[in-house]
Amino acid sequence: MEQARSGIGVSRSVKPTLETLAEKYFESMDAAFMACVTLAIAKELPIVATGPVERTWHAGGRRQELLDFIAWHLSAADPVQMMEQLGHAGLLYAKDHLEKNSPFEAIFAP
Amino acid sequence: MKIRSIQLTNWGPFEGVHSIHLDVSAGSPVVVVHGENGRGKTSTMRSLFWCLYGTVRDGYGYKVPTHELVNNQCCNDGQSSEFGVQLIVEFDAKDYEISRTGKVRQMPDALNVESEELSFRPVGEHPYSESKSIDMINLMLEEAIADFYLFDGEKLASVEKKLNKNDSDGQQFVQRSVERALGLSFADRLMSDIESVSSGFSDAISGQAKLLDDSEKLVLKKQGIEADIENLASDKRKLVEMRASIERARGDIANKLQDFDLIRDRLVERQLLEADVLSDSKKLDEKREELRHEADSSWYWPISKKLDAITLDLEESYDKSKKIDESNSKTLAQLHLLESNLSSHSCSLCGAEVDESSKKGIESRIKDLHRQIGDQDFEDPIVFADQLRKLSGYREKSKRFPVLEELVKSIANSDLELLTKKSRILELGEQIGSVGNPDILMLENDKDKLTTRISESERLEEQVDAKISTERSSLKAIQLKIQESPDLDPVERKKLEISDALDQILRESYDEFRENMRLQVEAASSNILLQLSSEVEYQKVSISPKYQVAMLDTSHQVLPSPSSGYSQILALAFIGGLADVAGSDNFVVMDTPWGRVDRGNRKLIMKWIRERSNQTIIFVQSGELTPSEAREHFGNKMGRQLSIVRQGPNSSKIEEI
Repeated sequence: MEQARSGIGVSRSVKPTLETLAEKYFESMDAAFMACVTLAIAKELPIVATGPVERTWHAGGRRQELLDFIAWHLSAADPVQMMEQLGHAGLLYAKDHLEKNSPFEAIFAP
Repeated sequence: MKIRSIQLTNWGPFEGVHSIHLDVSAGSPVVVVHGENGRGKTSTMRSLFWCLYGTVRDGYGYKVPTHELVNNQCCNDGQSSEFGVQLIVEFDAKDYEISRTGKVRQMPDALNVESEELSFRPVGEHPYSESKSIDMINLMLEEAIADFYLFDGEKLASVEKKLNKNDSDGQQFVQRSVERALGLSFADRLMSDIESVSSGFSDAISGQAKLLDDSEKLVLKKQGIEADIENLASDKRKLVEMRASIERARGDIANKLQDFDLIRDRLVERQLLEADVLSDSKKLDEKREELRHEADSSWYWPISKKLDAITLDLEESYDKSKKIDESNSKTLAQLHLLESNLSSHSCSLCGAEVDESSKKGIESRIKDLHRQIGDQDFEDPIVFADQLRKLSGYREKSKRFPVLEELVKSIANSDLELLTKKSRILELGEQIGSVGNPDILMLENDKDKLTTRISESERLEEQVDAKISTERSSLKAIQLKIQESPDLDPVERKKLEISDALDQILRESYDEFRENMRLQVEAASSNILLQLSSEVEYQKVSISPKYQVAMLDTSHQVLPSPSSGYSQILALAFIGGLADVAGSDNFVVMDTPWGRVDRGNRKLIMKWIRERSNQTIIFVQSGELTPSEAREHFGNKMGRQLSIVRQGPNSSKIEEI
C-alpha cells in the first residue's frame, strides 16, 4: 500500500496567487492556502489535477487539524493529496478574483 | 554845565580827603590831568559818575561794586570809615554842591559798604529832597546820555567794536544812542501823550467807533468763516472723491474674492478631504492589518455556514440519541427487573410470588418493552459526540468570526467612503481647474486695509461735516449780529475818519522826527570826523536808515575796513556827534582817549579839543601827552594842568602843575 504523503505542495502556476493572497489578506502563506482549501470545499469547486507541486509544508502543526477535518468530512483516503487539490482549486478561484481586484470578502466570504 | 571842583574822600587810590580844582574860564576850557597807569585817572572819572548817579559801569556795561571803588586802606580791620565824592558844579549860572557819601567797614576779606547818602543843594542853601535832587541831576545831565560826555578808552573801544559790528546788535546800539542823544525818551512820552489824547478822542466817540469796529470785525469774521466753510467743503469734496476711489478699488477686490469664494470653498473642501483620505487610509491600513491577523487563524471561514449547519445537526442528533439512550436504559432496567422476577418467580422488590397470571402479564410486558426498544431508530450518542469533537477546532475558531466579519464590513464601508472621497477630490480638482491657488489671503488683507481706509475717510468726512455745521452756526450768528447792528451815524463816521487821519499824521511826524535825528547825528559826526581825520578820503560818517555806521570817501562810497586807528576816530566822531546833538554846553571828560591813534590824528584830536569852547577834561599818561606837549598844543586854551602822583603804595595825590 502506498504510504500517504507527509508533505503538502503548491503548483507553480498558482504560487504567485498564494503569495499575493498572503501579502494582501493573511499573515502567512499556509493560512492563505488553508483558506483556499475550505473555500474549495464550501464552493464545491471542481477538483482538478494540480500538476507538479513544490513541497511547501509538512503535514503537521495547525495543518493537521485541517487534514483531519478533510479525512473526516470528505472521507478522503489521502487527505494530503485532497488538501493539495482543494487548495489548488481554491487558488484558481482566488486568482480570477484577484485579477478583478476583488476584496477579501468577495473571495472568502461564506 | 561845568565842574568847578571834585573832592574825593577815601576814593580809589586817594586815601583821606583830596580836592581837585577844575574851574576854568570860557577862554581856557581845557584841563589836562597827567598820571601814569594805576595812579587814579579812571577812578577820578568814575567818581563823577558815582556822585551823579550812584553807579559806575565798566566799558562793557557791567556794574562796578561800590566797595571796589573805595580806598582799601581807609580803615583798619573791623573799623569803619567815611568815603565819598563831592562836586561843585555850575549850571545855569548857579553853583550847586552835589555830594554822595557813605560809610565802609573793613571786614576780614573785603570792605563792606554800610550806607550811602546823596545830598544836592545850591551852594549855601538847604539840601533838596532826594527825588528833587535826582530830578535836578538829570536836568543838568541825563544819565542816559552821560556816557557821551564821560568816556574812557574802554568805552571808546566798546563803541568802536559795536560800530564795526554790522549786525542787528550794532544797529540797535546805534539806533538807541541816536535816540538817547535826541531825547527820544521824551519823544516817546510825547507819543504816548498823543496816543492818550487820540485814545481819549476815540473814547469820546467810542460807542460809534466800537460799533464800526465791531461791525467791521464781524464782516471780517464772517468772510473768514465763509472762506473756512469753502475750504472745508473743498476738503470734503476731496475726501468724498478719495473715498469713492477707495470704494471702487475695494469693489474690484470684493468681486475677485467673490469669484474666488466658490473656488476657495472647493479648495478648502479638497484640503479637508485630502486630510480625511490620508487619515482614513491610515485607519484602513490598520484595519487591513487587523484583518490579516484575524484571517490568519480563520481559514474555516469560507466553509463556516456549512460547518455551522453540520455542527447544529450533530448537536441535535447527539441530543436526540442521548435522550433515546436514556429512555432505553430505563426500559432495559425495567425489562431486566421483569425478566429477573420471571426467572426467580418472585418479585425482587416486594418478594411476592409470581403466579401464572402474573407470569403471563410479565411476559406480555416484556414483549412490549422489547418491541418498544426495537422500534426506535437509535444510534449511539458517542458517535455524534466523537464527530462533534472532530469539529472542536472549527468551533473554537469560529468564535472569532464575528470579529472578522465586523472587520470585513468595516473595511468595505471605509473603502466605499474612501472611494467616495477620492472621487470627490478628483471632481473638485476638475472644478478648480486652472485657477490654481490664488493669494486669497493677500487679497483679503488688501480688502481689509481698504475697508479701514474707507472708515477713516468716513470719520474724517464726519469731522469735516461737524466743523462745517459749527462754522455755519457761527456764520448764522454773525449774520444775525450784522443784521442787528445799527447803522453808523455819518457825522460820527466822519469824526472817526478825522481821528484816524490825525493818528496817521502824528505817527508819520514821529517817524520823520526819528529820521531827522539820525541825519543830525550823521551830520554832527561827519563834522567831527573832518576835524579829526588827517586823510582827505575820510569825508563823511554815514548812518544808514538801518543804523549801520560807516565812513564814506569823497565820492560817498563806503570805505571798507578802516584801520584800527580810524575805527577809533570813527567811534570818537560818533560819540562827539552824539554829544554835540544832545546839545547844551556840557563839559566833556575823556580818559586816555588816544589809544591806537597815530601822532597825526592825535594832533587833530587835540586841535578839535582846542576848538571846543566847553570845559574839556582830559586824563592822559606820559606816553600819550606830556605836560610840555600839552602846553604846546593847547596854548592859551589850557585852563589847568594837574598831575596825579604816587604818594605811597596804593596811594596817590593830585597836584597842580
